[in-house]
Amino acid sequence: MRGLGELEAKVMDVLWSASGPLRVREVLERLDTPRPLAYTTVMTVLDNLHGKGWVRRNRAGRAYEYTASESRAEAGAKLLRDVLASSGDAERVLLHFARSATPEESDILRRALNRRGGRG
Amino acid sequence: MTVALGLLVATVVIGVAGPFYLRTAVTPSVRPGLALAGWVSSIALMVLTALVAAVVLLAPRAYVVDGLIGMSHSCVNAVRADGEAVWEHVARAAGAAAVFCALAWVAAVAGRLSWRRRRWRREHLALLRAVSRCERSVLWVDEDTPLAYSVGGRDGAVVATRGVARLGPRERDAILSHERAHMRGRHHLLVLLADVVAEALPFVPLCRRAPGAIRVLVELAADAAAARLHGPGSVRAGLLAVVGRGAPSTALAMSRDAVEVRLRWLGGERAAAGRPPGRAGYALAAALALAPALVSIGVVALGVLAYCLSVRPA
Repeated sequence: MRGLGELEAKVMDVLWSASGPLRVREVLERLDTPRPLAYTTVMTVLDNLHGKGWVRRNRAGRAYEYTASESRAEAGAKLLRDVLASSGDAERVLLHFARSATPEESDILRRALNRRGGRG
Repeated sequence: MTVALGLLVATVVIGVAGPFYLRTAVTPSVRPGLALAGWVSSIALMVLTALVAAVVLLAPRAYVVDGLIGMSHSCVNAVRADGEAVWEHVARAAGAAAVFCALAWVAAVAGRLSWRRRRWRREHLALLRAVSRCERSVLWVDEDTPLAYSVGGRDGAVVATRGVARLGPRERDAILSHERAHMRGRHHLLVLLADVVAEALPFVPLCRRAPGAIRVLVELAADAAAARLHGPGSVRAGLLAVVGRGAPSTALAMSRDAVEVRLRWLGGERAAAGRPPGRAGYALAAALALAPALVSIGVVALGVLAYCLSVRPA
């Protein structure tokens, strides 16, 4: 599953807070954005989310109804698993409480402790 | 010319010898915050000495800048009557150009890295804010594995899982204090700085070793900050709780090794625990970082003086 843009995350927030499937117009009404959005903008965002696998849609009459494909908790757990598993940017941007250390970092710590142990 | 030479020598001394004398500060008897200040100010100083050297080299009447200690210009003129003075100008321009090119390259790498990370951070935070709920300025995610991390920047956040909330209050507070110390100390920015200089100038030992040392030191500094608030025992318990109950993923399995050393460190540091390093401490760290530069300039000035005295009578 690919990442989300800011507007996409807000749309997901609306879908997760809703009790049932929502139409584009209903999503638009519940969105809290600094500037009012166009109907087509929200429709495009929902279409992208569908393409990325974040939402499911069913035809209801002439329009689509959208639901989140997994719950908020499931998405959160998946996000954290991605953070743990990924290297690269995630590894470099975040400071973990108990992070994996490179051999060089472990070496710095161990050598410092040993030096002290040798002296005292 | 003497000042510029001294500054260039200082740049090289800090860049090459820096990791060796800074390494002695990474010990449980020195506060990690001070060692961190030493590393960061040494990197800043190395850039500064190079920049000032380049500016002095380009100054049209550099011997005025040299003042009392600068005699290389006049004694070079005395030794070589004329003709060769052109080479001096070429050497000055080339030296300054090399320094400016290196600094421009560092700036370009800094721009690229910080832009890429800011974009990643913004996307991650957008998704995170959608899947978590914010309570006491912490973003809580519904996940049973105890896990905590922090995202830097102005819009940054501390992130923790329900697994952390379910730990005892001691462990939980120690873990959150550790992450808040990262935010307060702008540790994410220091890590970015280290990554930038390491990527831009990997042939400089100080830059190449900066990421490893600074990453270690920010963790130790945050551990120390949490230990001051909640006691080393709480931090120790927090570390054990997070690592002990972790899923057998590779990331957590690998961290076990690093945590082992941090636990020993917390035990060894107890003597130094107490008040946080004050302003005087940071001034001391900066002064120590400055010492190699001053010594280099002094040695070059003495060398030029000796050279002039030896050639003058001839």
